[in-house]
Parts: sequence; C-alpha cells; structure tokens
Amino acid sequence: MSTHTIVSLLALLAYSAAMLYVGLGAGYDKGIATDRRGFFIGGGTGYFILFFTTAATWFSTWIYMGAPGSFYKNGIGWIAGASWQLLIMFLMGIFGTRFWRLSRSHGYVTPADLIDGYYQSDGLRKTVSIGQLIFCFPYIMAQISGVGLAVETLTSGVIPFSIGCIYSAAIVCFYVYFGGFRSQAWVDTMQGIMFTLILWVTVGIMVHNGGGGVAGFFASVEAAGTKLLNYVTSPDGPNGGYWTWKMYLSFFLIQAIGGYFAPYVWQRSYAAKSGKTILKITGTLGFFYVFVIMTPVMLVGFGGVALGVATENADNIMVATMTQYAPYWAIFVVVGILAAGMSTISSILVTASSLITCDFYLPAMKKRGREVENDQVVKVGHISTIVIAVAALILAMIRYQGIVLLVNTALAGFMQALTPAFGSLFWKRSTKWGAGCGFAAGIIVVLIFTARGINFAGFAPGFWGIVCNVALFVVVSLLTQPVSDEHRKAFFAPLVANKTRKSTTCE
Amino acid sequence: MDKRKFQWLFLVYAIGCLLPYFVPALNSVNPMIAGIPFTVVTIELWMLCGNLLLNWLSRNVWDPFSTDEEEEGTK
Repeated sequence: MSTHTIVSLLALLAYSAAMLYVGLGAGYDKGIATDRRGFFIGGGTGYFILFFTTAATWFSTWIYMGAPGSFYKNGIGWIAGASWQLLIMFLMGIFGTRFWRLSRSHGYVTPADLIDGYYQSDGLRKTVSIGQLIFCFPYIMAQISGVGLAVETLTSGVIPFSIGCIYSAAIVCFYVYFGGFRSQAWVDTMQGIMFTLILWVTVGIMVHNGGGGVAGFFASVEAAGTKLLNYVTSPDGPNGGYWTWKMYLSFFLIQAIGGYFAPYVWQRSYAAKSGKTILKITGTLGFFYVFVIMTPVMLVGFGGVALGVATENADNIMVATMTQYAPYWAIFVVVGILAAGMSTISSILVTASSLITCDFYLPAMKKRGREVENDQVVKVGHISTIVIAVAALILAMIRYQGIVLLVNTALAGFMQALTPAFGSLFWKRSTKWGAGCGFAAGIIVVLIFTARGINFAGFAPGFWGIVCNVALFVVVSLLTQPVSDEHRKAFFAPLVANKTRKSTTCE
Repeated sequence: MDKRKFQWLFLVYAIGCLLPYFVPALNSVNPMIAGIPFTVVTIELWMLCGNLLLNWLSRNVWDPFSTDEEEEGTK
C-alpha cells in the first residue's frame, strides 16, 4: 500500500470521526431528538446552523463534479447555475415565512401537511407525498453513488465502490437515527464549511499553477480556442452548442423552483427559529451561493482547461487536475466530495422518513381511531430512516453516469409542487382537484419526456411538466369547488394575527 | 408608495440574465477587465445587483410573520 493510500485512509477515518463527534456529540440534543416534531424538523434552528444546513443540503456532489465538468466541457452557460440560485432565495422570501408561520401554528411537519391543511384532502396529501418520495430516491441514490465512487478513488480501490456506498449510507444513517434533524443540521454545518474551504484552496492551487494570476488564467482558457467564455447563441455554435438560451431558461427554472420546493429544502423553512431568521437567510445566502460557491466552481472548471488537463469523464476534472498538480491535496478534494454528498444524503433521509411517518403512518392510525404516543412516532421515524437508507443503498449499487442529469430529473419532479403551494397561499379559486391534477400531470410529463429523451422545441422536460401542470391546475380549479371561506379564514388566521407589514395572501 | 411593487424588479433581473444570448456586446470576451473576460464580469456584477435587491426586499418588503419574543426560547 502506497503512502498516498495510507494518508487517504487516515483522512477518511478522521473525517468519519469528526462527523460522528459532531452528529452524536455537539449536535445531539436528547430533548429534541426524542420529540416527534423535533426529530424531523428540530427545535427551532438559528441563523448560523440554518444557513449552512440549507447550503449544504442544496449543494451536493454536483458542485465538485457535474458543475465544474460542465464549465470544462460546455463553457460559461452553466453560470446560470449561479444566477438562478437567486430565484431560490426569492421563492424563500415569498413562501418561506408563510410556511414557517403556518407550520409553527398548525403543527405542520411535511410539505403535504400544509397542502392537506389548506385543501382538506388526504388524497392530495398522499399524491404530493408519493410524488416527492419518488423523486427523493434518484437524488439520494445519486449522492450515495457519488460518495461510493469518491471513496474508491480516494483509496485507490482499496475500498471498492460497493463498500464506499455502504460506508456513506451507514454512517449517515447512524447519526440521523439517533439525532434526527438537529444532528444532521450540525453535521451539515461542519461539512458545508469543509467543502467551501477545500473549494477555495483548490482554486488557489489552480490559479497559482496556471501562472500569471487571474489574468493569465483566463488568457489560457481563451487561448485554448474552445470559445468556452462565450455564450452559445445557436445549437450549432461553439463549445458543443449545449447551453442555448432555451436550455439556460428551462434548466435553471427547474433548478431554482425544484430547488426550493424540494421537500428537504421546503422543510428548512419549517425548521427556522423564526420568520426573521428566514428573512436574514434570504437576504444573505444568495451572496454565499453565488460568490463563495458558484464562482470558485466556475474557476475550477475553467482551471482544467487553463492547465490543459485531459480527462475522458468531464465530471472528474477537479480530481484529475489536483491529482496531476497537487496529489496530496487531491485527497482533500475527494473528502470535499464526500462532505458535499453526505450532507445531502442526511437531509433527504430525515425528510423521507418524515414523509413516511407523517403522511402515511399517522393518517392511517388516525383513520383507525388510534392515538399515537410521541415515542411511537419517533420509533416509526427511526425505522423508516433505516428502511429508506437500505433501499436507496441497494438501488445505488447500480453505477450511474451523468450525475447532473439524474439530479435534474429529481428537481423537475420537485418543481411540480409549485402549483399546490402557490394555490394554497395566493389563489382563492384553487381547488384540490386542480392542484392534484396539475401536480400528477406535471410529474407524468417529466417522467415520460425524460425517459424518452424528449427536449420538445429545445426546452427541457421539467419545463413542459410545469407548463402542463399550471394549465391543468388553472382549468380544473375553475371548474371545481374551492375550500369554504370559513376554512380559509381558520387556515390563514396565524398569518393575519402575526402580520407586521403589508403582505399578500388570499385570506 | 407600496414597497411590494419592487418585487417585480426580480423579473428584470431574470430577463437580464438572458440578455447575453441576444445582445452580442454582452457576449464578448473583450474588453477584459483586470484580466477577467467581459462575459464573466458582467454576469458577476448582475448577480451582485440581484443579491442586493434580495437583501433589500428581505429587510423592507417581506413579512417575517413573527415577533421579537419568538426569537428567544428555542434551540
């Protein structure tokens, strides 16, 4: 075994120990972990932890693999991945505080809780929840696969892909099982800080090795003659003709809307300490997303070109470049991939577990007229955590190519929750039938178009999914009966009572 | 004046992000500014504007629906 491999194994060991220490030590709170609401969404998370858990949940392996790979291969078009991050923050500003207030006052834990709370439909609750669960799986599988690959690379094959997958699922499952949301939010914070620092040091190494500072760096990219620094204005244009304006628009509407309405991001609004905490995040997280994460990601992708690194798999450009220029730092880059991937796995695990417990188990018990004790709910949360982790692990053992595509399918699915959520807060005429038909149609379109590789008129499947969704939502809602005024008043009462500024809702 | 109207400025930001595809001057590497291509400088500045707008909206327009007392007593 080489010295490099031994150092890699030690780094992996140290990283794992740090995760367990934070998850089961500093981040563990027995009172919160054993409370039915606390286990799934914590006990009121403050600014710092919520800031980093939101960032670490949203940024997964794609910031180390897919995104730099796309800059390296297809050019500046992926900058949309940065510019549209702000739409996520905009949506958080519009929806986030309302979600928080309603969750705090009505006791909502899952997104479907809120949908059911407004539309009074258990069928719609289950439709939304199943839709979200279906798309949680590709995302969690992609992360487990990504981490498995990273561990295999890190240890030069001493730990094979399959064991790497088991490692990632098991260790995350361990601290989530015991600590729930709070533990995973604390570990997310540690991981978020880690992968950000590693990213910046990597950029520094690339710029340093490029010679001539930033100016020399970009001059080398331009000299490569691939036109990567120009936007693509036609499909037969330079750098593969991939990022046309239609792809830019559709892909990143999906990224942003899907990004906010992904249940594990949505639940972060429920988890906040207060509405003010959410607004503080809305006003500052965009800066972090764009300038602290996405800008160095762009530099890393272009860095591969500037340094003339050749790799068959563009997703691997960051590791390939570091392996060539700073072999020991490459170890930390791979640890960064683990951090980015595992922070997302843990969040989805808690969320999926809450969906099963609160959207299926509890309503079933209620139907049978059984009262469920706090301990029993937490126990079901524990069991579902294990079941989901094992199921995702088994499915992840199949190797996947193109992590970004896979993740994007999931976001296109999550995006479909826009209409039920919008209708419940802002459109009096929306009905359960409209919301349900739109949501289901959107998901079906996404699945069919993605499976068949249809980019109709140059727009991505998620774009057509949301178009069908909105059209059906409006038409069917206008043809059916909305909820009663009395119910609407009761639903919005917490918002009316806590209004501090002029704000728009359909109360 | 109703400050909520300023939310529509986000639409201007969104449309602005697409402009380099339609305005050739914004799709040019030159002039380089401090060695950074014009395409990169403009989108970074535009994203800074978008961030400043969000920051302003979150402090002046969007309602937190919470009180100062709720800031305390949770962990």
